[in-house]
Amino acid sequence: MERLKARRVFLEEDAEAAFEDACGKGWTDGLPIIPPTAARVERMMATVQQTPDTVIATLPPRNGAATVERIAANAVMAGCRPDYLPVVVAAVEAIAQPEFNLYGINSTTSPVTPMLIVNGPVRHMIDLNSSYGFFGPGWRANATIGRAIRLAQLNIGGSIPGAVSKSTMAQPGRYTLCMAEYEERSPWPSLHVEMGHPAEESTVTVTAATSTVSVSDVWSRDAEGILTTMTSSMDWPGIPSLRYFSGQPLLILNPDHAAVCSRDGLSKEDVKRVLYERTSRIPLSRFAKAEQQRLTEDRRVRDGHVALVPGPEYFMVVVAGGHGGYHSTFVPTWAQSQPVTRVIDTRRITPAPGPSATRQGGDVHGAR
Amino acid sequence: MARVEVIDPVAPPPGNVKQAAPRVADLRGKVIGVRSYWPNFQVFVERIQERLRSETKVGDVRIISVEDERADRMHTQTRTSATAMPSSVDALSPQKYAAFAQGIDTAISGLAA
Repeated sequence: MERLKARRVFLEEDAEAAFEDACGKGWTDGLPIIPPTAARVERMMATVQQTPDTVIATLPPRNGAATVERIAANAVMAGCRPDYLPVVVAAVEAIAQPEFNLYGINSTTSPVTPMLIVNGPVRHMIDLNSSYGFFGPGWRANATIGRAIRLAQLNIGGSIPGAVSKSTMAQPGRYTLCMAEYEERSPWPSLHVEMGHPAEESTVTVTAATSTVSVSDVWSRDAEGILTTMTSSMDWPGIPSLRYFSGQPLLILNPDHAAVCSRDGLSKEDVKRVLYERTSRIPLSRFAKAEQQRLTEDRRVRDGHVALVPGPEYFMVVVAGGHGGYHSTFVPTWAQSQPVTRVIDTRRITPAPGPSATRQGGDVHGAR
Repeated sequence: MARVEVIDPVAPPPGNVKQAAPRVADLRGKVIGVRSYWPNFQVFVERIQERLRSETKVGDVRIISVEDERADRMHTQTRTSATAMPSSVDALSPQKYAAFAQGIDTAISGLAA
């Protein structure tokens, strides 16, 4: 009996013609896709327990049903391997939670996009990159999982650029934005452990990223210096958190920056406290007059200064990246969204064979 | 050229889409409500209000703005868990919306291009 219930349509068979056809149908992000034939979608779904017609979520603003088979079809198009699908399914469930505000994200004028942070053993099982170049090209799992979420936003949620998504500029992260935390090189509890999950559980956390900002400090040799550089790069007037006094700004410290902070006795909570203290003294004079008036009316001004967020707990701190270059990343987040974490069901994933940068401690790049 | 059958990746909208209320046939004497939720949109909305009042025979134009509630909300937000952040900062309370809706005949809501 036929398991797949979704509607069937036709694409041109030739690869180039199929791409043209998919573009014409509005299915793509502008990049080539793999045609989601029934056989490919079936193979994709072998790693999840649910039946094909199980509705994982409805995605706004269209409120289309994100069934497992439809998610799988988008994952096929994005170039995912079947063992990536449990991550994609969990991420779809996460972005659909009301507190994440996907309705707003899919329609706002902001460049905001879902950013995925994966924790736990699944990172190694599917070879997600948390080390050298984790935000960049060259790593299939990171690239295609993030892309599958974008295609789901487009094809299931109806976030059509221009017509529905009114993002004035968008951002490169709207093609794909998926990372893993480098837990093995973090001196602190990982993000999912902070959220109350056991370390051996795999999770995906989605947060609403408005950009990624490289913060480089190659000179400092202590936590004081490093965190001075970090916070001086996080408190500029244009970021959404400042405007709305909300959001959850994310600092991705590279392992070397994190190690120095830890060596100097700072826990992750200490780091968040320092981030809060140093971003709570932004001179009002740095803002435009209209913003000054608004901040004053909102009673946000204390002794001529403004705070980025209401408290240290608003910051997220994770560790990722390669060694030997002191580059961390600040991710401003959209203020009208809260991060959401979901557990990834890894029971049907067979670990990928062969060497892996993450399985080898992240020090061997390009050893796939 | 040959074609291949694929699974449609596109989800249709649900069948139970809410229908918009019927358009009013004539704006004369009607009270028009405008929802404003954006500082820059407020400038536009106030201009619309001004022109409708001066150039048409509408009964009135009323504006509801999230700015009305924003300042108070800023100081009542509390956190309840490690990830529970304050609710959407651009939301008006349902009670305020309901009261506003009862006092108008037709509404303009949202940005458009």
